[in-house]
Amino acid sequence: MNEDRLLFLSEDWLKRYMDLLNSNPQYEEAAKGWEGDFIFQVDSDGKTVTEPIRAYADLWHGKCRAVHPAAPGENAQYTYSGTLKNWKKLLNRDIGPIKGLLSRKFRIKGSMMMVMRYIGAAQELVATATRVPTRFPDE
Amino acid sequence: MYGYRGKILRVDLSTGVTSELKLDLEMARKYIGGMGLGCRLLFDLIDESTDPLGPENPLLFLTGPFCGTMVPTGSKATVCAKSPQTGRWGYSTFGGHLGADIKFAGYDGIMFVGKAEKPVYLLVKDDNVEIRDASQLWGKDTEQTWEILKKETGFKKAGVARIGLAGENLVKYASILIDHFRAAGRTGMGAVMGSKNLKALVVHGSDRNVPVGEPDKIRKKSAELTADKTEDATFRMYSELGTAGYVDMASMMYGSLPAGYYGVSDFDSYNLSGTTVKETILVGKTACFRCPIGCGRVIQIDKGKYATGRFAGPELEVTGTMGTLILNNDAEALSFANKQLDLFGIDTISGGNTIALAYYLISEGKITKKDLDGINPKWGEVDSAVKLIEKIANREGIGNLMAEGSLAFAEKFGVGELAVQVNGLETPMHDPRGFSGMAIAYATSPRGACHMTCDMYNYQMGVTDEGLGVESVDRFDNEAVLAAKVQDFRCVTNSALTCHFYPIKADELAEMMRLVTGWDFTLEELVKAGERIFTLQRLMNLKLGYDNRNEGLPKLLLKPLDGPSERHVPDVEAQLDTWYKYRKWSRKTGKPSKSKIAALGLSDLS
Repeated sequence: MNEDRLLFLSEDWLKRYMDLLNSNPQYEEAAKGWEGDFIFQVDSDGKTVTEPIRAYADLWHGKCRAVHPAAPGENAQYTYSGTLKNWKKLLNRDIGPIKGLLSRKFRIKGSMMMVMRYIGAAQELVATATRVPTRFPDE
Repeated sequence: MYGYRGKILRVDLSTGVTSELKLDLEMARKYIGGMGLGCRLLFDLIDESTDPLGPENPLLFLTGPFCGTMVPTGSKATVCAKSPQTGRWGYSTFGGHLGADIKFAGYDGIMFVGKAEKPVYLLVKDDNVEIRDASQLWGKDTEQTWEILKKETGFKKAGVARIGLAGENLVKYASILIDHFRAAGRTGMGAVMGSKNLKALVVHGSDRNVPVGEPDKIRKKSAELTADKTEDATFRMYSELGTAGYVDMASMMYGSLPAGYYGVSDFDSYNLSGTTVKETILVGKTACFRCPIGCGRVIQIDKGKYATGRFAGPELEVTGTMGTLILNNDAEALSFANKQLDLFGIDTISGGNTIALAYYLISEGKITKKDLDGINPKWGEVDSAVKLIEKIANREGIGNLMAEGSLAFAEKFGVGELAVQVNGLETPMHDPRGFSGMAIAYATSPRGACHMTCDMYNYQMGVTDEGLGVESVDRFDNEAVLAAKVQDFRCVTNSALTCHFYPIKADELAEMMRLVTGWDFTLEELVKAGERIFTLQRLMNLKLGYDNRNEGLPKLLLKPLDGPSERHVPDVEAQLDTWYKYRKWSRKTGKPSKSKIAALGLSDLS
């Protein structure tokens, strides 16, 4: 079954994610005023993930305009980061994006003001990610 | 002796005599300071027959061991007495810099007893203590009073606590305003002050060197802690947006911000949130002494019907009570109502709730505008609320009844069950239908419906504490055991007096206690102290006539709502069963077991 699943944050995974996001009307509505790009980052855990795995997403007014694996040193307005273990919890919906932040399983860099304003969009970003058939690096 | 000054200033307002009480350090270690120490000290001084508004009810301002030191947010203070609002143990925690000034003046606290013959205020300049005439201040609002006191005493930066008309007129939920409009809002401590003819206290302390055990280590640890907490999402939210930054999350994600007097689930609070305030009327922020967060908002509205000028902006609770609870989504109108409540010195939670109840009762046809002296509140408008605020503060017409609280107000019209309160204290803006842990928190809180004695909403949103063994699984679960642990921990933070918005963990707090006091204060001792203080409060309340049959939630909080609370209704009885079993207290009588009392070193009080 692994063949059908896409490696988390790989180019193929990101393209599928972008397609799903751009066909998600709930996300479009929740993020209609959003302007800002994101780096999603899997932090190094010193075992499975030795170097951070990073992906870039350009999110603009309810649409995703571009995605790609992020180059080292590439930055964006927001960075949402956590360990692989916690990304798996997030995509399995064991925790939500905000619970992840409050329990410090995830960290965010960027304006909290905008994050608070677009909480519904954050939930849809995660909900959409759960619909991508995903294989994690430790699988 | 580290962390404490070792003495409490005692002021007898009946005789005008001032003296010093020696602090019992063994007692201080058991009860820490602030709320815990205050409860223990008052335990010997009040009972069921004490009139909360009589001269026999002592009023005690107390600091904690961190106050005036480098410990981040550790300079809050407590004011406590028998509550005129609930008839039980009452206290309220406040920020600003009054606490630090008390410590810098050489005291751990100030106790007022008796009653002055005429209005007075207390002026403390280190060991110079003076009871001064306050006739010129009586009838003045809390802003006028503050300004006059600054001029009259010459101390522009002194710590100042004062009451407004509500306190003077013994409104049962009158607040005390501290410094730049921080409030000791809950349980009616402003009315106790008013009952003593005590308009204000002004404290200017000049010895800023509070002795601590390990000053260098405290400095280093404080810097490390704050560097770490600055990464915390709640720290950043409160710093950037104030407590009302939580509005979006509470309303959109959790359905925990009540609206339409607890009956509306789809109210759009976008215009009220801290983000909107920041985008529109915010001009600055304020911080309490040694606080790296700075959640206090400063707003400015210069024009229009709701002009406030430059004033303290709305925080979360009043954003609920004078915003969503009456379906008002105008931030300027909200800010104006907030200012009126602060100027008159009315608790924004209890006062706002009581006013919102009037909106609800009239909308349900339970009362008419005739009952409200011709005022006809309509959902969404604030002008009626502003008129009712003034009537309450002056105890004029219907305001005289509403000044007694929402339960008395509703009972007068035969609908007591519609008042959203527990044990006489109105409910804060954290709906138990959004977080089940708030059900047990409200039902069993030592001071009535209260979020500061157990903020389960934080923990059920994701905050964890490994040292306490607290990690929520699901916000709708029966997590009464977690709630008990959080209650005990909050007893410690309300006694050591660190701010709830500073996300310090139990093991970090224990380390700070060690560094400040020089005691070998372990995490285990901290946990036990928390349970001891929680149990002490129950013993105090039982002494004052507490009846645990009143533990529960009001009818309106048991009605399911659509939206983010997903029609969840907490099972309060199941939570109470779990909670009592965990605490080893009698579910029937509400009394802690003898073995538990003995284990906590409380046998002399039972």
